Amino acid sequence: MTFIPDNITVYFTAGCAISAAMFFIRSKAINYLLYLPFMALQVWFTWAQTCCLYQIEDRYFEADGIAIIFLSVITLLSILTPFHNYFYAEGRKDSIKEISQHNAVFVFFVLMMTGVLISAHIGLMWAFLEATTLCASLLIFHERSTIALEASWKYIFICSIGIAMAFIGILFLGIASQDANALNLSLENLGNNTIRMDPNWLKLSFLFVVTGFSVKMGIMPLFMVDIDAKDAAPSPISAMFSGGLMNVGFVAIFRFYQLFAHTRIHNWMNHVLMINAVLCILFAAVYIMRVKNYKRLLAYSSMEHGGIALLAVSAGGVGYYAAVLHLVLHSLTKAGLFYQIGQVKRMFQGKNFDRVGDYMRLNPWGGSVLLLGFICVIAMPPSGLFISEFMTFKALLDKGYTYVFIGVVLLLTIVLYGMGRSFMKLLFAPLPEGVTYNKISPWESISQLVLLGAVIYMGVHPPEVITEFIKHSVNTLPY
Amino acid sequence: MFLVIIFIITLNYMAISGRLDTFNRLLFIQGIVLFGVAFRELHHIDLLNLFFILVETLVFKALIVPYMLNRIVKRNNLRHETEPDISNFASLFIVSAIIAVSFILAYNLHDSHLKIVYFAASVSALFTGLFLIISRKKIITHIIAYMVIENGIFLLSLALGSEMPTIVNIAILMDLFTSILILSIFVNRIGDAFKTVQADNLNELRD
Repeated sequence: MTFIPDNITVYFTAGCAISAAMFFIRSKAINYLLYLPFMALQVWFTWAQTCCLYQIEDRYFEADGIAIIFLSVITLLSILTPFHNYFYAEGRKDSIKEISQHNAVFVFFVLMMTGVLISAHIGLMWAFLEATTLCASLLIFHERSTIALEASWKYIFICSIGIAMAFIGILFLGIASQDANALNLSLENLGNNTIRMDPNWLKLSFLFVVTGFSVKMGIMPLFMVDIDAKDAAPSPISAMFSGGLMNVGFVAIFRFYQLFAHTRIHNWMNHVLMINAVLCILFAAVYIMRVKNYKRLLAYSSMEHGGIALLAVSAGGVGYYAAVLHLVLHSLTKAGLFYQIGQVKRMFQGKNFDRVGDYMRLNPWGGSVLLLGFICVIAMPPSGLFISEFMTFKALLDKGYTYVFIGVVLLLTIVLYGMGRSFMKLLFAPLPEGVTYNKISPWESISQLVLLGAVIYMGVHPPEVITEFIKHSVNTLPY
Repeated sequence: MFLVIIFIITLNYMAISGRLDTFNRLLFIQGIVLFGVAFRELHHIDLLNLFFILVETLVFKALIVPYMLNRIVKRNNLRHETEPDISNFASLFIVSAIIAVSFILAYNLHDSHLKIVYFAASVSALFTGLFLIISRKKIITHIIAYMVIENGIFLLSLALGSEMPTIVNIAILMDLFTSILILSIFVNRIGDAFKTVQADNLNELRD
């Protein structure tokens, strides 16, 4: 009998091999060249999964619409991030040991995120998510400073506790599924049987899962370590956290939402998510007025957008579509902004508000990226985020949540003011005395312009294939 | 039942123990107890399953983790006290209350598939672990408390009686093992950077 490996096996084996090669080969050129086969592997795998949409390859993996959408985003970012990793390492004059460790863990991190997205078994999804935590903590630790140490310790510890909470949620779902005689925890089997399960266990399970996975998505209640992580990690990695990991956390929560959406607890879940979303936006608004450095500012902005996505899900109807679209666009915008803030940090040797200024004149290309990114991230037209937020509010008003709508809009105004104040200071305020700066090549801003251009293009004229995939991923949900 | 009682006693002992090596020994005992419970609950003696729980409980939970924690204690010259924020009496009282509430809660659940005793013990372990994290200052105690939570989760999955597929079990065990490994690396790093291993030192990141 000949053994023909399937796509999944090829992908994980080749990915692990590349990661191991990066770890053990201590040569800078080879290390960065190894990114090429990795990018090719990632693109091939995304393509292969898109082709076999909804065909279960085996019991444990299946790619559905939402997996493909977010997998494509991760693939795009995992192609762009290595370049910024390179600039970042050159700027810090990292040793070859640090570079090879960082690259190897980065590749493994992307593999694990992909694993979460395509898992069709809840236990397996959990295991992949925990693995992303482990990789992420090593990536955060890259600078080896005391702040990085603190952030990575807090991240791995609180994440592990959070993910343990989520596991309890999975076990509660297991109890519920036993009562319905559905022993197998695969998504397909559970989806067919949740309707017969005890709603109280399902409610408990959902609460634990949202609490646990909130640490991955960076939303209430366990958002704090995620903010610290985005602050202390290298900027390209922060971009991966905001653009990749956040979606992965969302998918993890969304899988449970999909499972329970046809049961009696659907309305109750919507209310839980809505309260969570409003709290997210509230906390983000408060902290955005208080933060002192740009990376934390962007991190809190991610939390605000996570809140908006949850709000869209809780509103239902057109909101499901809006939530997925919002997260996709937010990923591209925020990744672009984090890449650019990394440059700002290298240019002024700092990321605090009091050490920067006059960026538009000193680096017109980078300044344009930030200005464009600012317009995109606050969801001002022509940004695509405007469309998704508009749909979210439409869904809210359709369902009669007028007061929630008014409250959220007021909070978003505060966010807009806070973000605008900080961004305008960086772009146009005169440089504080005594601050020196380095020159940065304008070529480094190209990838950001491409990302932000895509955000605007998708707002003005969303490509049909993308809207189809998003519709695919949410069409099973009840109105 | 007997094993569960031993497990509960270790939880109570943890509340009042002042020495790190006692904690380590208690983790060892918990690992062995969990092996006993898992062995009893095996529905059919399947070689792979038996091997797996042997590795997970005896080798990993009872031997490797206490050994690694012991090495951290030696390497960082930790003083052998856990430095609780509150008095021993108060923590004993709180842990006992947690256990009592869990048992009352569990016996009021009318679920035919659930093994009530295991369920109660696991819930007690979860909350005792969380309580230990909140009330102790040394981060090594936090790792121990994390292991207590993991032990609680292991019991909870036994209370369920349903089994994850082997591949998932292996993935979960790998994750746990790596997380303990990385946590201990970070503890050593923190010990080098701050000269002490207290959670209070970690307060630079804030708004």
